[in-house]
Amino acid sequence: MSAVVTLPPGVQLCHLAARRLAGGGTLVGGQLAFERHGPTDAPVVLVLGGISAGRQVAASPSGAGWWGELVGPGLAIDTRRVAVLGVDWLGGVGCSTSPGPGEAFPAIASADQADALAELLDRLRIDRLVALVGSSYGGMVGLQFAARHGARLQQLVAIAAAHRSHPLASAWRQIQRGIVQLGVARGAPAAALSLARQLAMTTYRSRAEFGTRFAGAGAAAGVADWLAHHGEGFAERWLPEQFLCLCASIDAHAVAPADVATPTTLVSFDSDTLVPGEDVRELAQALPKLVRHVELTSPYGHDAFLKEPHALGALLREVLS
Amino acid sequence: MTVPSVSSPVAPATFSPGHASGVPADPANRLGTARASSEPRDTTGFASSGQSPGTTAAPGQTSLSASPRPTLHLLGVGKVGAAFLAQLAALPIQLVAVSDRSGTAFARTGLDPLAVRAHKLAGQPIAAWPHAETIPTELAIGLCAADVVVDATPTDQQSTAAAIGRVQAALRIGAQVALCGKNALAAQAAAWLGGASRRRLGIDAVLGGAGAQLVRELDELRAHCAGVVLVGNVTTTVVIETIERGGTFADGLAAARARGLLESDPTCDLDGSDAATKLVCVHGAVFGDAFVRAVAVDTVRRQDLREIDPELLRARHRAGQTTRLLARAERGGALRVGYEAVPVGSPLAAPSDRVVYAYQLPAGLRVHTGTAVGADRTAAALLADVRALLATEVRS
Repeated sequence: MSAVVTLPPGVQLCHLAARRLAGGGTLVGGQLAFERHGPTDAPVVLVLGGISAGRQVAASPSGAGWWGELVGPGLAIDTRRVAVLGVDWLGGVGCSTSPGPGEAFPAIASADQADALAELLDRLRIDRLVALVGSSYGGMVGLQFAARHGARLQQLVAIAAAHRSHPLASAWRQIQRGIVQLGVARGAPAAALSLARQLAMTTYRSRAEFGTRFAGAGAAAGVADWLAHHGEGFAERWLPEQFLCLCASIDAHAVAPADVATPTTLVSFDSDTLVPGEDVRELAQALPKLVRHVELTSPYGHDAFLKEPHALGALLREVLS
Repeated sequence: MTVPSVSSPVAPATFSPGHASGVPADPANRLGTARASSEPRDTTGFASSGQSPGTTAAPGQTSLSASPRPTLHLLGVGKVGAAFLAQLAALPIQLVAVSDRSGTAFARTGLDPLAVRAHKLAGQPIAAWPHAETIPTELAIGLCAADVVVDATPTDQQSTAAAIGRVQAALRIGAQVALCGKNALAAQAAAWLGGASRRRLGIDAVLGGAGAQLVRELDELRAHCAGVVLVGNVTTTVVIETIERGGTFADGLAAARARGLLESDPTCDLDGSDAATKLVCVHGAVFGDAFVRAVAVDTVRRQDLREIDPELLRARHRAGQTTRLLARAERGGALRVGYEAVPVGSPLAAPSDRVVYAYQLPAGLRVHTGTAVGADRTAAALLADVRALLATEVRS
């Protein structure tokens, strides 16, 4: 595993204790990179996104932040009132421990990510989070955190996430993994990563959005350009080993809803085919302390958690008020 | 303050011509005895009868490369060396020689690593190995001519000059060298890592498992690194963590000893000279010039843990910080080793199961983390170096 990182200014590092992982492996010398925004003595909100979303949650001199429209001074998650933590996933891109090129790396479960977050809180002496707001994979990890460390969490907001991966979504990811594995075997890892991401993009968005975005003449060429843009950008940042690690982590995700005793708000999107509404409704019915389940209408499919800042902003202001 | 260096001039080596436990009594494997009746033995006892009948081996000419497996010569069978032998046993690498302060055992067809380990753990010197003969270690390195020489000589046995001599003897015969001790590297880092020998030298274990990363990135670091800071001494981290939890200095030392981190004399850990030596290694590698003498370790300004008020450590801990022994150097600047407050989110707040070597680059702080702490993991780092060196050799 890679034990080399380059930390840009502002990035902090939590050295993790050696740990047995849920999948049976061991992680020795692990590190969790994080950023902290807001007052040091304020209540803390942990904000987690999808596998591509890292520690840079809010806008800063080093970049826009993947949720920059929702997290910042005066925004829905107001960094004048709360401190916000963002992390790089174990096994993924960024500065946390992850596989290097060609390296074997232990399987990282969503439960392992949750345990690493708990250790980060220990290190920072944060007894309890005022909220954990997790979207997509971050929502899965949030559910695991609530199940495993519920006493340390006042409330959970899980967006576009359920207690398990839908088999059809796993099937799509299986094809993506196959593409990447084939590309690695054939000596074309970047092209394979790009292609896998392009396929993934079609699962993140909806039929309606594609229809609107690419209407009219030249639609096919437009789709191709758009997919290539996303695929190539992804391939520039990711290693095949990292993609395979987190892809497998999503597929292996499973949490018993009855174990999530934290007051929980669920958000789903009507056009999300990756985490379908029926799965979230099933979770909602089984949660011991469901605050509410909000089903939002959006054309953006699973990616609505990135594309619907106004609707989510209003909800988060209410939840965190 | 000076770096303790136990005087160990070139060790009187004993050479065993291949009659080891677990080794068949094959005459061709018994270099000395095979010819003893018909030929006068050379003065070293390293005549290469089994391979080159009628000839006398000269340094570098006792070729073992005909073996289908790569051959290895281990120097030093202390805690790390013994752990190395245990791990080596599972690999397709042929142990052909083992040296300790008392002598060298050799078997062309291979020594049983576990048998040698058991021999040493029973308190027996290598000199007591069957058919052992005594020659200087440097000469033994040349005559055994293994593909890889692993120097796991315990620090308290080595003088810098002797340690350098061992490495140079191995490099002279074209062997690859995996190194564990730091004194030789501190004196020679610029020369060894700045030149062609870089690819023949493994230093991962020297720097707690962070040495291979340094070598991999050395060209970039030499060009762009502005400063280095390292948390390289784990013993002091254990003591600090113990004191932060309310224990005493003695409790901390006991904890470090219980984890097998302490030598019998912990002075070099506590007075900062261990950290200073590692800093000099890195300084030489990154900022050094092969034609300029390395910084002398005893000129590095350093602080002794016993001078630190335990209450200061606890107060910092209560304030959400920790304390670490940091060794710092900037390009063109002085080297220094001292105890500093470190925020808990700093990469330098390394716990006691790892070391951190950090390099300031234009893009940010490059952090190398090593987990080769304790005998078993240090041995694993040595073995990783061996495998990497052999892979390089195959590729080349």
